[in-house]
Formats: sequence, C-alpha cells, structure tokens
Amino acid sequence: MESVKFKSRNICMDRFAEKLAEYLFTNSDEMKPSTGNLINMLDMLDIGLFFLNPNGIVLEEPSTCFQNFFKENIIHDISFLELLNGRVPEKTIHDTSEYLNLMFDDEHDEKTLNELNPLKEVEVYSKNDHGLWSDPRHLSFTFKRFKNSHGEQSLIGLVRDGSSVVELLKKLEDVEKKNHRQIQWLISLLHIDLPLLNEFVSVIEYELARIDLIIKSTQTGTEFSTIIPKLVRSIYHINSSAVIMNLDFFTKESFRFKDEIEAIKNKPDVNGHDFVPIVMGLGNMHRMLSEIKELMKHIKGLDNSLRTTRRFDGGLIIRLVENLINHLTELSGKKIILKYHNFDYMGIPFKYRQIIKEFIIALTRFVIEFGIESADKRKSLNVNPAATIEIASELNKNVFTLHFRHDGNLIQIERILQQSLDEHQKALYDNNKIENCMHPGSEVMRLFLNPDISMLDNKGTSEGKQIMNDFELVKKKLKMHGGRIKVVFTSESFCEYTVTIPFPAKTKNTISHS
Amino acid sequence: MRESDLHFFIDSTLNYFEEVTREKAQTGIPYLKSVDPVVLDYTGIIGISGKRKGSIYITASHKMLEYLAQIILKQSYVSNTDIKDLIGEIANTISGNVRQAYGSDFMISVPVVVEGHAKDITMPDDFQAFVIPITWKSYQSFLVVCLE
Repeated sequence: MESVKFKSRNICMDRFAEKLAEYLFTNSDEMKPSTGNLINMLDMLDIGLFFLNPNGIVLEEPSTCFQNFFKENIIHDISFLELLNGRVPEKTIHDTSEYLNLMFDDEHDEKTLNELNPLKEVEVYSKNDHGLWSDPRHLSFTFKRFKNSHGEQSLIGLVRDGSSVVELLKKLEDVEKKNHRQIQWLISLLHIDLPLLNEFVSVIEYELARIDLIIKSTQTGTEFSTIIPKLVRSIYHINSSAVIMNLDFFTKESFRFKDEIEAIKNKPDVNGHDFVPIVMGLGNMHRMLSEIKELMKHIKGLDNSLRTTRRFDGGLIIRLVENLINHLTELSGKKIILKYHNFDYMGIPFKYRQIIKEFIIALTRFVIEFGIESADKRKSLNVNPAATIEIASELNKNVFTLHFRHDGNLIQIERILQQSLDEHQKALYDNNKIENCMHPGSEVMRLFLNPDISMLDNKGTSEGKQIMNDFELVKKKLKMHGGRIKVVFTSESFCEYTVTIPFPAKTKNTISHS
Repeated sequence: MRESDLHFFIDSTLNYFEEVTREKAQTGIPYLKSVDPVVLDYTGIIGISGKRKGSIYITASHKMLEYLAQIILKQSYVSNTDIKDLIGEIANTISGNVRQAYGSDFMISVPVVVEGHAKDITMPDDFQAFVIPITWKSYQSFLVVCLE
C-alpha cells in the first residue's frame, strides 16, 4: 500500500519534469535568450539538461546538474555513449545506441520511440578514487527532437535523479515481503511456549555453529567423507527439534539440508563442489534463525501480557509428543493413539522436567522406530491397526515415577522371549554350555533397550542409529540424575518402561533455642 | 545467490590455475563468511552490478603469488609489481569468465588490488558471502563470493 503511494508521488514528479521539458522544447527558439535561466531553474529542481548532435555528441556545455550526476566536469564534444561506458551495462549502451539512431530519424514516431527508451530508468555508477564503484544513481533520461540553427535533427536530453524514490521503493518492497513472511512465521511460533522456543533456538544455534566449525576446520586434501557422519548427527538434531516444534518452514529447510547430506554420503569421491548445496542451506538456516530471534523479541512482550495457565504449560510436552507421533507415523505408515490422562507435567519436580521431557521424546522416537509395527502388519496379525502409547506419571513421597506403555510388536516380543527362554532351558540341561549361555533376563533387557540384536528391520539406517544413540545418551543422563529404568512386558497386553527418579524431601529449617 | 553461481566461480578459479600452471588446484569445503577477516597478503577485488549485484575477491599469500609469477614469467626473480599485477590478472580472468557467462546485462568492474593485510574486505551486508578455500601446491588462497 505504502509503495503504491510512493509510486504515484514519483509519477507526479515525472509529469512535472516532462511539462517543463516540453515547454523548453517547444519554445526553444524564441526562448534562446532565457535558456540560461531555464537551465538554472532545472538545476534547482535537480533536473539535468544536455543537447546531442546527430552523431550523438554532447553539444555546448551541459548543465551543472547533468555533470554532477556523472561526477565529472563534462566539457562539450564528448560522445554520450562514451560517457555511459563503464557506468551502465554493455547491453544498455548497445540499446541506447540503437534508440538514439532511431530518434535522429524523422520517419519514426517520437512518442512510440520514447516507449523504447532504454534509459527511462537506469542505474548509473561512478568510480571513486580507488577505482571502486560508489554511490550508484537511478537516473531517468528523456529525449526530445529539435532542429538546430542549421536545420539538422538534434536532441534535447533531460535527466532526473530518482535514486531516493527508487531506493525507498525497494526498501518498502523488501519490508513488505519480510513482513508478510514474518507474519506467517509468527503464527507458527505463537503456539510454542517461550522457554521451549528459547531451547529450540539454543539447540539450533549450537548445531549450526558446530556445522560451521566442522566445515571450516576441514583442511583441503583431507578425506571429506569423514566429516559426513558429524554433519548427519547435527542435522538430525536440527531436524528433530524443528519437527517436534511443528515449525514447518524450518523443518522443510532442514529436510532439504538432510537430503543434500544423504546425497553426498552415497558419492564415491567427495570434493569441495559437493558441499556447495550444503553451505547454501546452512546460509538459509542461519538467516531463518536470526529472523526467529528477531520475532522472539516481539513474542516476549506478548508472552508477558498473555500469561499461560499451568494446565497449558503442562500440555506443551504432550503437544510436542503429539507432533512427533504425527510426523513419524506419517513417514512410516504406522498408526498410533496417544493416551495421557494420567500424566501431570506440572507434578514433575522442576529440576527433572528437562530430563523427563528429553526421555519421553527419545523413548517415543525409539518405540515408534523399533517397537511398533506398521498398521498393515498389525492388521495381518489380527490386532488393532492403531497401536497405543500411554504416558502416565506418579509422585510419591520422595520418588517421581514415569510410566511409558505401548502395545507394539507384542507377538514378536513374545516369540523372541520364548526362544530366549528355550535356549536357556536347553543350556541348563547341557552343563558344558551353561557358561556360554547368557542369562535370559539380560538378553530380554537388551531386546527392549538396545534392540540391535533382534528384530530391527532398519538397523542399518543412519536414522535408526541416531535414534539409538539419542536414547543411549538420554539413558546416561537419567542415570546421572539417579534415575532407574525398569521394563515390564505383560504377555499379549503391553510393554511398559518405568522410570523412577528419587528426589530428596524438603528439609525444614529448624532453629534451636539454647 | 544460486548454487550454480558458486560452482561457476569455483570452476573459473580452478581453471585459471590449471591453464596457467598445468597443475590442478584443490577446492576445500566452502563456508559462510563470518565477521572473521579472510585476507592474505594480496587481494584482487571485482565488483558486479547490473541485473544482480555483489562482489568477488581472491586473496593469496606473497609466497604463492611469487611462485606462480616465477612459473608464468619463467624467471627466478619477480618484483612486487609483478606480484600485484598477477593477483589483478587472476581477478581479471575470473571477471572475464563472469562477463562471458553472465552476458551483457551485467557490469563487471576492473579489478582493484589491495596489498597487505587489510583489516577485512567489507562485502555487501544484504547478501551472504561464501568463502572457498583453494589450495595449489600446498599454498592456500581464498575466493570470497558475495552475490545477490
């Protein structure tokens, strides 16, 4: 809207200059004595004036304003095209040459030719003392025919500097585009709680900085393929963070980045060229992140005035898990129902909220990847095609307990368990082999917590490895908090992961009076 | 800037080394230019304008340019002027290729040579600048590209 206003203001100025020029052109003969005054007047209006002979030579001394536009003391008898050389693109010079030739030819209609004027709006550069271009000007040239005293066809040229308007228009256009994009992004960001958004930004910032460092510190001549796994790991974190935040615009970019890395991974001989799309994607993500940070400043103000309820805060973790389930099931063709009636996020002691959140997310991803079969497979096994994940929490005196239950792969687990027990029984009868036989309990635990020994169809994929690595990492973190994981498998019913974290009871301050 | 632009600038630079010295240069992994300066002993800068704007510069060490000049001029002693001419020449060759590829809608400036370690070469703020490390005979140089 604003740009339209500026455009119409620009048009008004153009019309005024044209009117003045027309007055000068049409009255050029009788106005001769007062031409000097008119030039001064045009100079005051920042409109330059010059005359061209049929050879395209600038006649007499052009106006001061014209000379200022070219940042040169132009004396007469200089070719106009020569003047443009090095200041405008070659194509423009070529087109101008053709246009001026036609203008000098009476046979062509002047008004029609003016439509073809290549200098109607042109960016003109000047060089500074170091030979570098400086201060480009957006000049607008208009030409009008007139006969000189010898009856030769000549041209009067008028030039106006529209730089401020053009620059302002460009700025407005950029701002309009940016505002439009930011409004779209803001809508996506508004549903995310500010602390979660802060956490997202710091994760992305950390991972992007890590990628930058990896790329920068890789010397030419080293085996480039060796850094791919490191990049995969970082982009996996970026991607999964964007997915659980349900930030479409960021997710798309991170997926594109991920695909580019995957493409390099499969190349036999990796060179610097192959990293071009990656570094371009990295640039895009950096730009997006800085815009998100800019938007967050605005959200902070909103967040203070629209303080959320405790229930809403507690619902955020559930929303993250729902987003994650939606995304993963869409990719894998699985169906999952999430139940969380007995889960109370606000009941989790504050210092354990982060680790519990990380654990739930890592376990959800782990279970969907390795623990739940596709809807088709479940149908063929004669069980409900939609699997169930149930999250519940309990807070006792000094222990927080999280229950994570799912009903995936039950038949397969049952079979593996049975097989394991049978093998153990068989080993018990054969005393020679008992030492080599693993205790069934440990094997079953590995089945639930580190399933690379058993039922993985996709154990070779990098995604699968990343999920396992993440799960391992979060298990270690949990252990550091004194947490324990117990897995209970109830035949034909469910498989339940129970996490318990003890926390010290609040000690009352006692004051003893002696 | 498009991916193809960056590929083009890398190829132009690599071709220069191969054509002049008959020995291939190696490209490192391109990275985003941060606030850290990327400036070696001599720098040749070209400005691009017209349909799209931006600038490119190549920066190299004295040792590398000296060795390169010795090969080109086929003499063991090369002056400082020869070295400055050489970095200008490299930038000019890249600029010539750019002119050929991008057509007459673009304006390519004559190269400007900077001698000595400048604090940094400022690139247009509005666009992302990319740094491409180039290694020739164990000497490192950098091509920095910033285009709309």
